Amino acid sequence: FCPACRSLQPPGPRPDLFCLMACDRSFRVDVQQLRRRFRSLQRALHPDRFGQRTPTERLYSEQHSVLVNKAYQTLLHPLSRGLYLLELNGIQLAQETDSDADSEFLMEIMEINEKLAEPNNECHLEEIETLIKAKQEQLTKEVTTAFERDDLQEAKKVLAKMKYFANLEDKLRNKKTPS
Amino acid sequence: GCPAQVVDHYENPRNVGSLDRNAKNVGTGLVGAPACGDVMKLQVEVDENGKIVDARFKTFGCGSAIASSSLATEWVKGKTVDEALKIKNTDIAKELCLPPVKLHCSMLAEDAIKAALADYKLKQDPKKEDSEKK
Repeated sequence: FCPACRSLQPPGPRPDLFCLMACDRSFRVDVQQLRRRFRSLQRALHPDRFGQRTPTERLYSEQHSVLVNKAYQTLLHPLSRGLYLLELNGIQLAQETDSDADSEFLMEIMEINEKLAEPNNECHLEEIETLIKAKQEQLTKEVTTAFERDDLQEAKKVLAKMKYFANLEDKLRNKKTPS
Repeated sequence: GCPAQVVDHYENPRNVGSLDRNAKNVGTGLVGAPACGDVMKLQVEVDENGKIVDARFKTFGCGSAIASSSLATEWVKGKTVDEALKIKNTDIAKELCLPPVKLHCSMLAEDAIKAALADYKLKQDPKKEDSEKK
């Protein structure tokens, strides 16, 4: 908000999402604090609050609101948070084929995918879900350690593994919701 | 035309399945793309004359990745190992009219072919294994 006339200003050009959500630029995030910040920002910036203001301000409030949502979702989930931290350090997950890939790991991903793809496997879905969750927890611990050690290359490797499991999680969710 | 062919490979992928990875004349390539989390397995069966007589794939990922690997298995059949090594991702992408954003899917397929053939070669000459492995 402009200090002089109190009108809403547009969001900055390349906002730092950690800064926006008043979090330290770290993989460790206080989720409760993040949620509180999210709610208080939305209370102040939500378009509904700008119904009586100028169209420009309403537009800005929409932009802010979208940004706040994006920041919240990015920082809330370990995978997106980790990837964002890498991005801030100029590192991205390889778009191309990973030639370093752990073939045992890929085989494991293949096997879980195959199990998920089997028809009439409703009774096994819970088992698969438990497995996926356990793996994700383990990987989250590993990536936390990597970031604490400032080992960004290791973090990148672990985040890549988490990406495969995130896809599995999505597929599982799709299977559970009746079509 | 191009669009029809592309849809066909998505809806009716050819050669989905597995070969016996323990057979000496079967090469297995397993590759992944970290950014999108796609995983692709491609297998080839080679006869005593070095010709690829069968190929299968299993891909978990986007439609373009599935179509690329389906096409790859079709293309390697009937080729010798050396001929199959010449298959380029750009040929696959062109055949399927892949948009630039999906080019990496065709690269994944090319890498899967190479990995399967490398695995096959390794199995034929175990002495090489120690010196060539990282």
